[in-house]
Amino acid sequence: MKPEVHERLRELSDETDKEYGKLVQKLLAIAFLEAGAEAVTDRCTQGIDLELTWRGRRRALEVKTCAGGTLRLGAKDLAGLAAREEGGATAYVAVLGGRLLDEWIIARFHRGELAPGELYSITRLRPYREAELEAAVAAKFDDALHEHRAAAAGRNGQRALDDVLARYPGYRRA
Amino acid sequence: MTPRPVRIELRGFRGWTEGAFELDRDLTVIVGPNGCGKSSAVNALEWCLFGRDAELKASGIDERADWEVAHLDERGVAGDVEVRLALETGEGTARLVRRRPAGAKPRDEDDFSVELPDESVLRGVEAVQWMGAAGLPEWGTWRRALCQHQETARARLTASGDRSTLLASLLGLETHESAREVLEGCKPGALVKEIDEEVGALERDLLARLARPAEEQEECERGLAALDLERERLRPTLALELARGLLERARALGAELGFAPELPDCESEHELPRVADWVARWPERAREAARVDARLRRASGLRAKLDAADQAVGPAEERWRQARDRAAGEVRARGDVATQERLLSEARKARDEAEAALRRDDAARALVRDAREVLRHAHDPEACPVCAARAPGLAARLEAELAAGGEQRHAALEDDCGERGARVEELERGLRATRELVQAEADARASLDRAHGALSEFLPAGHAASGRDPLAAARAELERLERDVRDLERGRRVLDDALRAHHADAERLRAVQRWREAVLRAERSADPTSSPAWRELQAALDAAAAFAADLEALGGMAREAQERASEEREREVNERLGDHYGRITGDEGAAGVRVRGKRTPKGLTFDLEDARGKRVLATLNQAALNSVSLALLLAQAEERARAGRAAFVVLDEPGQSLDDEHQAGLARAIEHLAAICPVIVATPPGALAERLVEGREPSRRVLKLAPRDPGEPRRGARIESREER
Repeated sequence: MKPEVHERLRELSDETDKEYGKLVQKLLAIAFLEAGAEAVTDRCTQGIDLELTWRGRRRALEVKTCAGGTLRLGAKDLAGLAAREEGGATAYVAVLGGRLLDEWIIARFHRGELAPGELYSITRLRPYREAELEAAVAAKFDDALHEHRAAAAGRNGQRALDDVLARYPGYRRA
Repeated sequence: MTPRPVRIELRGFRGWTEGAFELDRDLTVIVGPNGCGKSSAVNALEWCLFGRDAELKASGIDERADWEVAHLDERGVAGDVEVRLALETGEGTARLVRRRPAGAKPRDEDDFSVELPDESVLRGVEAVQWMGAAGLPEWGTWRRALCQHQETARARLTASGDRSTLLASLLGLETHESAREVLEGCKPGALVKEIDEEVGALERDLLARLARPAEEQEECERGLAALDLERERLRPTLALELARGLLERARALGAELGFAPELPDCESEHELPRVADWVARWPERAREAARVDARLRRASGLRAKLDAADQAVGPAEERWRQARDRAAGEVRARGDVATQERLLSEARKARDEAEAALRRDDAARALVRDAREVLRHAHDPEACPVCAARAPGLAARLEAELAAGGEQRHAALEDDCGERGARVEELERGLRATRELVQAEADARASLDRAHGALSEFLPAGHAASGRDPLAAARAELERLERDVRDLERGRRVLDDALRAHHADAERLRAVQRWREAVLRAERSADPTSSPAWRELQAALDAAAAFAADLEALGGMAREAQERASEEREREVNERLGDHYGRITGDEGAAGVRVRGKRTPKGLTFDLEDARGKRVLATLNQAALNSVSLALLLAQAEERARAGRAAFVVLDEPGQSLDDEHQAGLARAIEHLAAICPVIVATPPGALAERLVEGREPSRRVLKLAPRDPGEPRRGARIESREER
């Protein structure tokens, strides 16, 4: 990622602590909407994090952030992805590492390949990257971060980003 | 074809002084009582193959502790040792020859050679290499898998590490285990970890590199602040502006100092390098073009000379004026030189006349005195002494003449003469003085003329024709030179000041350029994601991750295949081991013992289990242990032979600790193996010997060794009979 993006994410992470993951998820939702997603559903409390319609196809994303280069998926995350696959959506694990050399990895989910609770290097997701989605969202995410970082870092960061998202007709909150 | 031993010749080896015997294709049985040379015969074969490896105490074989390779004669003296082992190969018979001269020291190498079927001879390293190429076993393999010695079977099996190695060798699972270790090392987790570590190192390096241009920029800005260029004044065009200012000042300097400098274009940043080059050279070029120093030196020199010449004119003129006044005063006082010369001439003439009158008077007086004297002595003082005429009173007159009137006249004449002489001297002095003053005036005049001439040299050409006073002209020229010098000195100050300012400006320009470059580098490095290298790196990481994933899948498949192969191999080997063990024990249908591999954190280990999976060693008696040990050895040799590798088994008293029934079983097992690879057995008379001697299948040679003659302890082993069946 760009150094300035890296720096802003680091600051946002320091300032928001546990909310960081949710804030990044919302910024990603903004990025998808800016990139032309027909619809984005932000699931704040249960199930899969983001559902979107992109070029006429339904996609389900489990969004993860990690400071280092590893992530852990819970049984509910994996079950949710599997359920969306069964429901006809294409499921992905979207991971943003915290290192400068990291960038968004939006990897196709394959049932059974990831075990719940296991610690995985995000490098292991690289072979399954969906280049089209990543390319569409990369620059938009940087822009969204640049534009909304101050709001996100505020006391009610999530709500501020929700307000931003609410301006998009394709956005829905579940 | 794998090499097969066909004949042994011994000389001076252990119990043998000399001997030779053929080895059978299948089974060779050496029978004899204790101490007759059986063990020496079979030991000769392996000594020929392995030399000191086989004979040392460290060989791992207990009985080697008291080995003496050389045969001792009647006096107890060791002689030369030589063993020749003939091997049948696909190309003919090759001979391995090992010799050790008498008196060889423990570290001396044997003379080892291979005589090939084509009669060429290989020695040393080449000979050893030939053995490897021919598939002959190494010492370790030989010791574990192809020979059995008199030491107890327990020694082969009781040490767990050795046992595991021994069993692994039997199963051929060393190869399987190394394959498994390779596959373990190729697990994707390890590769991904390596990739992540590389990424971490790369990131640290990248962060450091990204920080460096910003640090450089910061340092440049601090440097510029020291040059009175504060950060807020810094802008991208500043270098261009500074460069243009430098050029403008150069142009103005040229105009002021009277030359037109050649200036580079400075329209854009691309031209700054050329401008910077010009800026570096400008001080030298400006000094060359202005020529201020040279001109100033020349004008100053000229001025100094003209000034000196001018300074010389005044005193010369003063000297001339004084000389002229003195000469004029003298002339006024004494007249000019011509008048004085005339007066002097007249005075000299008068003096000469006076002196002539005086000389005449002196002569007349002399005559008078002479006459008086004559008269004084004459007899007639009245008669003239010359003419004799009478002149009365002549003497008195003469006396009177001399006394009064004559003296007065003479004094008057002398006075007149003196006066006239003094007059002449006075006139001569005056003339000399006048002449000297005239000459002095002339000299002063000449000096003044020279001073004027010297001045004229500094005057512009044509000055003489102008009719101007040279002194005034020189003064005017001197004033002009002084103005030039002042102008040039001011010009030099202007040039020095301008170049000092130029140096300061040039330093600023260089600093600003460095700052600008640092800024551009910082800008370029600010976003590495836009560089092609970033995309290449990400693609490389993707490829590496994909490779790791592929390897994971392949590694899994390979591990599974290896596991299956190992299990299959374990099953086959256990079947053979069970067969041999069953033959020896006479319980061929029993499950007996089996080899079992077990994975531990330290790696794969092997042990012996019974059919129920329990470790058997602790429960076996000596006979059973020997049976297991022999079964293991035979199974190893069989595996090796079936795999197409060179195998011939040497057994030295294998029937130890076995009862007759087991010895008979062992004979069956040996005959079974002899049909697969050559077997050489040394055994004392007994059930095993009887069975091996009497049997007909497979083929065999029987050597019976004579008992040692108690009366001739040093005589050496002897072959009593040979039989081929």
